[in-house]
Amino acid sequence: MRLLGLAIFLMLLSSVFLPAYSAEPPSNASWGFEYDWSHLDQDTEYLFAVNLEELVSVIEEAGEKGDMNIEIGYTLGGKTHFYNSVETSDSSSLREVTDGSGDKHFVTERITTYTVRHSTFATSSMHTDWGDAKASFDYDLSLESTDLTIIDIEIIEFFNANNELIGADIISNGEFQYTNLMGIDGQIAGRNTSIEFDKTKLQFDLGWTWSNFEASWRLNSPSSIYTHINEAATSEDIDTVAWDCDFWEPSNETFGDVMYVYDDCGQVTGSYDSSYNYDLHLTNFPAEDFGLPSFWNDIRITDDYGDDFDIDTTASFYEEFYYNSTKKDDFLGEERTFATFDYLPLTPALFLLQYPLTSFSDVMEEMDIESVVDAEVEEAEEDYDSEESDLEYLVDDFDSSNLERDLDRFTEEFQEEMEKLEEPEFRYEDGFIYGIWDTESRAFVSYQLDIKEDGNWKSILGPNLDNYEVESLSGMKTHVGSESVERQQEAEKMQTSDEIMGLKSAGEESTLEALPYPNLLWAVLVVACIATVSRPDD
Amino acid sequence: MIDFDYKARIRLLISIVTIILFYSVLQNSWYEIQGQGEFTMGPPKESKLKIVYEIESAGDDGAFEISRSTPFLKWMASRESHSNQTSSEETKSTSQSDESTSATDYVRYAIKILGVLLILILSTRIFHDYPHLLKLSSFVWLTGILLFTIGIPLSLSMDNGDEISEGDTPVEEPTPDTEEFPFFEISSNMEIIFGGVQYNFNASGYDSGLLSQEEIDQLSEPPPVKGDVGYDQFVAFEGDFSLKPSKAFNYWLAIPLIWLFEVDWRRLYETYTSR
Repeated sequence: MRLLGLAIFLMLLSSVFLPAYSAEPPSNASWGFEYDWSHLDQDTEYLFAVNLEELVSVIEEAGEKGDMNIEIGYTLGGKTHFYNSVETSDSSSLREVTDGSGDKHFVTERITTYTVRHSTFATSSMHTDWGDAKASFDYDLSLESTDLTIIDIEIIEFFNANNELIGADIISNGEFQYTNLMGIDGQIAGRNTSIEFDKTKLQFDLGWTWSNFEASWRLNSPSSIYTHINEAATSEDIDTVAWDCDFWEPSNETFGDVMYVYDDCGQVTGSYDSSYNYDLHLTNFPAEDFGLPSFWNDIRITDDYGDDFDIDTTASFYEEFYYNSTKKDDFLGEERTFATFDYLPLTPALFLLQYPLTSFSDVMEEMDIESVVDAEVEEAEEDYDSEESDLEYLVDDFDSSNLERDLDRFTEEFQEEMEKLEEPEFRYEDGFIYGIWDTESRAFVSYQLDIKEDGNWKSILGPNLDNYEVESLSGMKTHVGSESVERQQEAEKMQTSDEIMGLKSAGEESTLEALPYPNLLWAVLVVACIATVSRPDD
Repeated sequence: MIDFDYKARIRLLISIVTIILFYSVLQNSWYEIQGQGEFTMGPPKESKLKIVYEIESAGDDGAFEISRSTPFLKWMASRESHSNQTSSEETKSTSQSDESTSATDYVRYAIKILGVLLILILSTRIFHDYPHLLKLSSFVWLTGILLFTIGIPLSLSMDNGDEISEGDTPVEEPTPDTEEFPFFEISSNMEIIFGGVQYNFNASGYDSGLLSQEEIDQLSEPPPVKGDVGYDQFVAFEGDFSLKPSKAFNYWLAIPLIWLFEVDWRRLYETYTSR
């Protein structure tokens, strides 16, 4: 009798734990892409019919018409990596989660991971010189800029035995950095005055990071939104699901082919650290020539501020899921039935994405880079002393020179040559993005971007469920399935610009370059001294 | 034909090293006035300012740095009377640039002449050992030290006398106008540092630019406590301000070290031990 009782108890227990719906996303539900920015020239020409080198030639040739020598050079490089994967936790290890109303649920976890790594560099140089009897200029300008983006987001959704959404946790870290260095060497001269820029540099760095981002979303009552989306994907009666996520009593109703789902979506709470930094540094500026006090030769304004913030907000939104079509495909390694939904529907995972990505607003309230720059410009205007400056004489000399005439000639020639070039036109007439829904695991597992060219649809990103002609950009590589999983794991390890771009690390510089030459000179001098002193008289 | 015996070689070496050291003197900063401080209360709290003004062989150079700058710049932008204050500062800073040439330039010429003179004296000793030339070199070198440590600051005070007596640096800094800061207080102390002096100071006061007249009338003796009228507008600044010779002075100081090569240490030791 005891054994029977125990058996019945265990059966009841297992019926509580056993999810009514047990299918999981395919093990390799991952997709992503890489873009190599060194192909930007080719891709810009392909996409917009604009040849950047041709544009540079036009500017240089127009310069000759205006009696100016203009030489422009530039290089671009870098890489972007974007990956997204979906997986389900081991269903044998159920976890207890309390919803917004305080009810406890045993749940399975679905983990959606986003990995973004991006870093590009651009260097450009320009030499320009012009002159007549009254005024002249001769400059070498250079510009170097790099940017860096690192984003890691992991969203864990919780489902009870009925595949109802209980809530989700999000963990994230991220960083944006932008560095920009402008250099100028050269001279601007009038009849009796000149201003020389000798290794003048303006460095501007800007960054924002967030770390330890942890937020929890708990609905006040379980939501069957994923079940209803699957109904739209599999039933012929429903094409659209409208999700009204607010403080409603959970229910649904159908009007025609539209199902309205009402939920009590509870709260999002959490905390994160966020910081920003900027560094504006002007060096070797010929301040006195501009009538400014000498401290303007080297002026630096920096800030590096961080704080911790809390999130406590209601989860309220409205979203519609538009069913498009159903296809069988094996792009994730095994054949399954997938449905496409129009656009990028705001899934619970995408809803949570907003919190780390907009967390900068709190810390940015502290920083107002525009007012910083305005304040400095105002300061410079106040410090400007016309009696100390050569600027006004130079302006007079340039006013009486042929510069305006030559600039007009330059502009006319530039416009004429530009008219001869092919009109820039975007290659594609239309484009459409879809969310790919796996009907077995009842999850969005990928995305697909199709474009239309000359009346024909082509697939440019994603699994190409419609078997369109594949369109590819020379710098773009797309990955799905196991290949994408591997790439995502590699990308997660990248933490520096060099690693993202696949370059050598700075630590690998040659030993010869690292030698301290000034110290060597002193060492040679000391040896010479000792040799001289110790050498006896002949 | 010059006979390059041991002594001549040593003196040649001394001359060469002196030329190199004097070249280093010309290439490096001669005198440095540096001020730095941090706002410890009020809207610009945490902002740090650093000003460096350097006298060099051919002119002067400066640098200005604001770190944790956002609160300071926002405070400056929000002050109602900001523009009036800075325009008065501007007058001061530009007036110094008009006048800061003469006396300092004389000291510059003097140091350069002393350097050339030193090299000439030491070079002469290669060819002929006139008596007292080394003493003369020492005198020239000591005069150089005096010019570095006393001559330059004195010439700066002559060139910028008005500003320094009012407590301003030769470069612009946000020294407040006491009328704009009711209950303005400043305390300072001076300490001697290597080759120069350093002033440490604390300044504080209510920022009237952020207060209404009614609030100004209700202000209490500082420091205010939380909840008092003007607590959030009470600005306090702690900093220090130093005047000292910089890198070039070290090169000048190093010049006589090479003269020690000329000392016959063995004979000196023998003389000492025989006694």
